[in-house]
Amino acid sequence: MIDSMLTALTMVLQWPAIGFLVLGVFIGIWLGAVPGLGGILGLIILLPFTFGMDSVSAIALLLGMFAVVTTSDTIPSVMLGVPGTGASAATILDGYPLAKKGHAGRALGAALTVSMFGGVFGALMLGLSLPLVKPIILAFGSPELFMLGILGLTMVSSISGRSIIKGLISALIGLLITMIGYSDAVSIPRYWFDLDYLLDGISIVPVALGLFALPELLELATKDVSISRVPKEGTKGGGIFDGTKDVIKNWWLALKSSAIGTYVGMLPGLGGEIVGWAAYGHAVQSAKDKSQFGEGDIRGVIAPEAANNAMKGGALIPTLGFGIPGNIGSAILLGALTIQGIRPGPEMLLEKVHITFSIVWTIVIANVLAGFLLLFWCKQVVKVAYIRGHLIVPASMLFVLMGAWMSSASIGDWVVCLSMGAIGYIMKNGGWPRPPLLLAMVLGPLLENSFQLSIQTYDNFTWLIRPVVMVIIALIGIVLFLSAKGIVKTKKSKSGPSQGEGSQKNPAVSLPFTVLLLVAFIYAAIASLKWPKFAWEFPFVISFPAILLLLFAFYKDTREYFGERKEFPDLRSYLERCTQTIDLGNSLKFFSWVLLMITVSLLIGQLITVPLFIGIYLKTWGKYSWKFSIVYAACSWLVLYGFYDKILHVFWHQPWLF
Amino acid sequence: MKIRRIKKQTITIFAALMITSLMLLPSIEAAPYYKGKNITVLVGFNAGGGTDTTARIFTKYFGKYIPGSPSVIVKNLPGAGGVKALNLIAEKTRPDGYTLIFQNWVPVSQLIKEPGVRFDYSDLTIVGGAQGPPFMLFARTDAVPGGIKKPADIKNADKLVYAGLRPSIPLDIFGRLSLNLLGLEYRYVTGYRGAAKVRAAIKQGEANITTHALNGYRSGVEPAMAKDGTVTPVWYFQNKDEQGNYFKSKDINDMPTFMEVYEEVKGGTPSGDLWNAFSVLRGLYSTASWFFWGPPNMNKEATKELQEGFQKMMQDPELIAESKKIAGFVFKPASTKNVQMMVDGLDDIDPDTIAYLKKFIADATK
Repeated sequence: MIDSMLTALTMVLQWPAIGFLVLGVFIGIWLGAVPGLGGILGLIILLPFTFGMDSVSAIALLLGMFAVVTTSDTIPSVMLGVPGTGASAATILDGYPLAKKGHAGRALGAALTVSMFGGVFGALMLGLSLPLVKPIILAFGSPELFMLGILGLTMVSSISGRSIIKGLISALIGLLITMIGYSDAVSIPRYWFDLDYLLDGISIVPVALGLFALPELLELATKDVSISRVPKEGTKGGGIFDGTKDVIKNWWLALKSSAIGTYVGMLPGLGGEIVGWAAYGHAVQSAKDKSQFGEGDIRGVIAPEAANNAMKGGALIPTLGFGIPGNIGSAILLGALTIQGIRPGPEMLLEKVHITFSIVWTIVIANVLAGFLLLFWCKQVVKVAYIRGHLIVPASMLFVLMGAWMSSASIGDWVVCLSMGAIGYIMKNGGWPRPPLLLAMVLGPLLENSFQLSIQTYDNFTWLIRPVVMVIIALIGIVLFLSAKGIVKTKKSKSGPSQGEGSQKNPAVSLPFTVLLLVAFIYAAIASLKWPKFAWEFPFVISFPAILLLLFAFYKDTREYFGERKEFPDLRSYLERCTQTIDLGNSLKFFSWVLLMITVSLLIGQLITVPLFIGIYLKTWGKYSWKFSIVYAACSWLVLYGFYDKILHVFWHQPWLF
Repeated sequence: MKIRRIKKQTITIFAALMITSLMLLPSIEAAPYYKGKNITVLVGFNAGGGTDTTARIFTKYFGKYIPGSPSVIVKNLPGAGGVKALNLIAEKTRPDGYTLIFQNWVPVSQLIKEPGVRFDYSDLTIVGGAQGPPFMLFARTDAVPGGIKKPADIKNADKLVYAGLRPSIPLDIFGRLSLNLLGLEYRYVTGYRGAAKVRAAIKQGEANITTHALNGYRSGVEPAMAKDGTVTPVWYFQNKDEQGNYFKSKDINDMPTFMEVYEEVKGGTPSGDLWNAFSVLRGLYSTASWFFWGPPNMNKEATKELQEGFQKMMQDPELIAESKKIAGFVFKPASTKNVQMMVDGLDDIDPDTIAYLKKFIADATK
């Protein structure tokens, strides 16, 4: 055994394998740091290059890249509040508030250190667990996955925001969005309004970018603030190595989160997005002092970042052991290995054991390398936190829009991104937590699918008494009990989160949104009635509780509205105050600007429009010189043409005018 | 005077230049249509999947066989089971031959008029078609009490649970039709999201029978589940020759054909509506199952060069070796004439058969 471990190590360290590994790490860092790209895209681009390579070099290139994407994806999550990839979505909750406080360095330091730790942990577990995990994998069928999904949603809804009701509704909105398009079980499209774009359902990338990135960019643009609202001099204890120290202090949490990452990532069907949330939920639930979560608690960064790197090793366990990929990334890797003539199955532990170990070593080396590279480089990244908003907005906007575009290369992606931006703006200002919506979008298809598969496979509800299902049901009970206890405690002490997600109180914003949602859910319920059983069940089951909860939210919003309204002499002065708090005028200007850009793109194409708008934005909003604006715009054109067109072969919109 | 002379000279030189350039023109015209151009090949599925991998194997070689050696690039435009990309080619792409699509054959979607289908195969321009790996059915060995010792034992299965993707997908249609023809009782579970999920369900014992394409079986099922006896291949679906007779594949000798199993279990040859639908569909799948198409009324010159290039490419020994390594199967090209006949055949299918199919698909989830 030790022999083959050492043989594998020398194989990985040999030229050219080690060269490909380093190359892979650099590509992975770039793909993770740019929102909307991600490791799967990397696998697709690199795959054809590996056809002619030897197995170890191919593994070094692909896995070197894939393993570290979840290390660098923390950068946009912390710096911009935009998830670099879905796997670091949970990091936003505390990472971005830390950056706003001027602690970006600390958040990144902690994230990078713990990513390294998690990645190595996951790889070692891959090596150790491969022979042992068969019973675990075989115990998780559709019923167990369904219950796990419910557990995840319960956890996130109960930890975010001032109001559990709004948290739950937010999750239900996410679930309803995933009902759009073809249902898995029958060829019936739902809620598609004869729009081809909607047949496929709405992809999570434009939603995530719209929901989180646009409201933040809007704030940077309209207020022209830097990401760190606190000047550099005022940030003590926010350095990179403070973050590393935080990890050492919270080593137990890091270890537990890595284990969550490995073993949840191992279950087929649960991707990186879910493990991040699961670890975050665990961090909140197990913490004694919960008051800082959502406002910049470093533990909220440590947990998801450990888990999402550890998951990579975990997901490979069933992939290599039984040819059952844990998620899409592993599925593509499996394809790549097959091309190399490596076939999953018991032989990965017998005659091909050196390949298994070279995979383990590649993940270990890649994680350590990326961790150290970024720790050294991170000082420069942190400086971004102190740059003027107007300089950051155009470049971020380009990557956000292109990230959204990559999901299906349709103008619909941009429309969804913009609409979700508006919804995100309303939710942010109206006290509606956004994370449950995002997680529900990840879990929605899994929940509906595993529910229907369970019902079809087992007679009705007999699957509820399967042992693992019962254990998870008990866990859900514990989560509900603990969070109910927590809410009572917070209410008594009145020290609930005051800045975090879902903490704003603004009934004049929230009330119209509540009414809108009520109409949407009533429509959804009625429209679902005409579909066959499999298509109809889930949307209806979602709409029913949503309508009840919304009626309750409506009652609470109205009460708050009249409570606040009393303090003003007339309706007009009240509304004026409200529009001022949310900066409505400037926000509308910002959204119209994006809308105009989309319209012009339709006419003359994106390659011209996007740089054009970037130039005009810098000149008019930022008041920069013509020369500067033109150079900036030219650089953005180069990125669009050189990177997106020539390297990624993006399918552009065909302009209507020519 | 001097000026006039200069003018005269200029005119002479100009005229000479004109003539020379006119003489040069035919040689410019003769430059290959695709010289210095790119061809974009759309793939209606996500990168990394079966269609995408296959497309990338072909596109790697295609440019070499088209005069002018254009570079051929794959672009993924996933959506609605490939329908979105087909719609785009049928409706919006310029017919200049610079944009093509590579797609597996989904005639059923067109026949039963699935929502969102707006393409019509008979409008598209044929570039080339090839016969890919056949479909095959496998089951968990323990699906039959005492184990499956020979394929025909499947008739003794007591509780079959079929893991399906979607009722209108050819894999599921053929799987269900064949089980129905044998008169077997089974529970059809639909909605597994991809072949990997189906394999997981079979491995876990949640389901115990399903259909795969042979390449997926060879790479994903055989080493991990068939070697240790967890599953057993039961049959494969054979193709018809040009006279409409079924023939055995020379590449497969570890499992019988469906017809052989049918004969052993039921005796004789099947008949009736069910058989009719099965037979019509088998016919549709017998010429080719993977295609390059161009938009309707594609440029004639481009079409000719692409069609010829495709046929030449399919003889490339490196391509043959690579597709054998990756897909475990050699793609066999069909002639343009045969593909044309196959497409024309879509219009001749009896409306009753189509109605029967439509009902058969709808009934799957009743």
